[in-house]
Parts: sequence; structure tokens; C-alpha cells
Amino acid sequence: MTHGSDDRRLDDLGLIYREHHAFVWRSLHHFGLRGDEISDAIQEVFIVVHRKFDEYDGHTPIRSWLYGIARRVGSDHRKRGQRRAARLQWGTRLDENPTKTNAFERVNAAAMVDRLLEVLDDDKREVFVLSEVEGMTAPEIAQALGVNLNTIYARLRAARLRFQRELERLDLEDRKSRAWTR
Amino acid sequence: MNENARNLLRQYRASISPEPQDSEMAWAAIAERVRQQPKVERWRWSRSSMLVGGVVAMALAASLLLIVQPNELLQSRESTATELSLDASEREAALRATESRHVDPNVQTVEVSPVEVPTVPPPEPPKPIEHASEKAPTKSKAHRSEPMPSTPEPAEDLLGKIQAEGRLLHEARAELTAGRPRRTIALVREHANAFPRGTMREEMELLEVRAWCALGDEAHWASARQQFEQRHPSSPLRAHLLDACER
Repeated sequence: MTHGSDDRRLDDLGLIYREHHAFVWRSLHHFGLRGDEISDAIQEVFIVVHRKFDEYDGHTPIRSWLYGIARRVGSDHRKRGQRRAARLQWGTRLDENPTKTNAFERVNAAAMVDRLLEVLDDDKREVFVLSEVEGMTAPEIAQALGVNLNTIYARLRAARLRFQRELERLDLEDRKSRAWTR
Repeated sequence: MNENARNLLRQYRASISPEPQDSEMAWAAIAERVRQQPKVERWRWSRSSMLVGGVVAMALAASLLLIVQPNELLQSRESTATELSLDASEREAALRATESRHVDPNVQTVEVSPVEVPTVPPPEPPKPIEHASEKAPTKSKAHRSEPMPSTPEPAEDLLGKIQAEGRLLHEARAELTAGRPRRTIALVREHANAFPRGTMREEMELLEVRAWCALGDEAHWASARQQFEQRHPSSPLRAHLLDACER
């Protein structure tokens, strides 16, 4: 490999990174990685992308391809025993004294959604997140996961219902507790 | 799903997306690793060529042995032949003795005397073999003593510092995200003590501004913000100061 082609490959990788790194970052979050784990894992993902450039056929949507790589890397990280720290922190996060800033509300929203997602089965959660958080289409998700399209629709329907129901339940609990403290 | 749920998911997406600094740091690390890759391949090539060189050296040593060994073989063959001829003459003498059924001491001395021939001191070991066996270890020792190629020490130091700073930055940010702004402030102070001229001072100080905001401590927030503006008047992160609390 010449240095010219090295540079070209790096430029191509840079383009993919700029366009999709936030998606990969969030995907790694969905796989349970947090903080530094994500920083390490995203490097691995894009090193694999760089190595496998030639294997990408161009027919599969790029995000589906990237998701497949991120999924394997995320799984390897979990197998290496890296803990899902954020999940353990939920209780403390929500019980801490909230400040009335939008920044805090966002943090609180993240914790709440993480909690809501936890009640979904793994396969439904994955489809739900890819559709509702990442905005991927059902065919894209089907390709990313290697699952039948109808199965994707079925999982998505069930996940949306469950998510909505859990959200309403939490909202109700929240109102009750506020009324109790007044 | 209703609008409330969709809003919540939008906020969720924003909160788990990477900060610009995270993205830049990750990209810098990726680009560096990718640039290192061809060097690694080249190093692998040099390793394999060293391996091939070693095999060739061994083959040469073996061929030297083959060249030298025939002399030894010749000598050993000669001695074997002598022994064989002696055996034959002994057997002949024994046969004759058996046939005649006479024990003649003269015959014995005559027959035994050639047996003393092999008692001649053995020939000196051929020198070339010694050379071959001596040279090989010297070479390998010399090779082992060669230092492994490594990056210059100052660069390693710098990289180590940046990594340590990066870890603190990530930790401080994670603590803030997890709703523990006091811990973030403590980490910012730790960073300031450990790396007074660190490359990530601005990011850390911006985190401190955010942390005071998260605590709702307006006085400290305003002071931290003012200090940031004074210390880093041309910082690109100044644009984020407002985001730190007012978004």
C-alpha cells in the first residue's frame, strides 16, 4: 500500500467518521457502554471500518453496516467484563436534588428513558431505539440486524406500546409523589 | 406514541450524543492508530525477513557442517574398517586355533598387536565445526542486544499526559452527566493541580462553569464564567459558555 492510498483511505474514513460517529457513539451507549468505554470502543469500531473498507459492498446502507460493526465491538467490550456503570447509577441519579435547568432536565430525561428502555426485551429495545431514537427505517433496521422485515414491524409495534404504557405509569407515580409531598 | 414521549426521546438523543471535544479526541486517536498501522505492517515484514535470514544462516551452518563432516566421516570409516579387519583376523586366528586345537602364545601376540592401533589418540576435532558453532550464538547475542525500535521518550511523556488529562476530562464529564456536579468540580481542581499548563484546561474550566450551573449556585457560576473569559479570551469554547446554563 502506498502512502498516497493510505492518505486517501484516511480521508475516506474521516468523511464516514464526521457523518456517522454520533450514531456509532449512541449505538455503543445503547449496548450498555458508558463514558471512557465508549471512547475506547468507538476507536475500535473505526479501526475495523478502516480495515474492512474493501469488504463494504455499497448495497447495504452505511449505517446498517456500521451498526453491525459497533454491535460486535460493543459485545466484545461487555464480554471483557466492563460494567454497565450508568445503569447502576439510575436510582441515585433520579433521587438527587434536581436543579431547574434545562441541562439537568436533559440528564434526567436520559436517565428516565434508560429506565423505560430497560423494561423492554433486548430484541424489542434494539428495534425501538434504532427507529425512534436514530430514525432508521424498518428495512435499514432489518438489514442491520439480519432479521425479517415483518418481525421488525412487529417488534416495533410492541415496543412502542410498552414504552408508552411505562411512561404513563411513571408519570402517574410522579404526580402522586408530588401530591403527597405538598 | 404521543408528543410527550417523542419530546422525551429527542432529549434523550441529545443527551447521549458525544460532545464536540469527545468527537475530536476520538478522531485524533483513530487517525493516529491508522497512521501507525502501515508501520506495524512494515515491522512485521522486517520480522519475517529476520526469520528468513535466520533460516538461511542455519542452512549455511548446516552446509558447512556437511562440508566439514566428510573428513570426520572418513576418519571414522577408516577406524571402523581397521576394527573390521581386526575382527576378521581375530576370527581367522580363533578358527585356526580351534582347528589345530593348539594354544600358541606367539600366534596370539602376532594377532593381538594390530589391535593396539585404535588406541592411538583420537584425531583433533575439526576446527571448522568449532567456528560454525561459535559464530552462530555470537550472532544471535548481537541481535538480541539490539534495542527495540521505540518512539522518543518526550513524545511518550506527552502522550501519557494527554491521556491522563483525557481520562480526567471524561470522568469529570461523566460525573456531571450522572448528576454529581460537586464531584466534577473536585476533578476540575484535581486537573488544575496536576496539570497547571495542561492542554485541556479550557475544557475542564468550561465543565466547572457547567457544574456550578447544575448546582444552581449563581454566584460561583458567574465567577467561574468570568474567570474563563479572562483566562481564555480567544477560546473557541467561549461560544459554549452560554450553553453551559442557559440553553
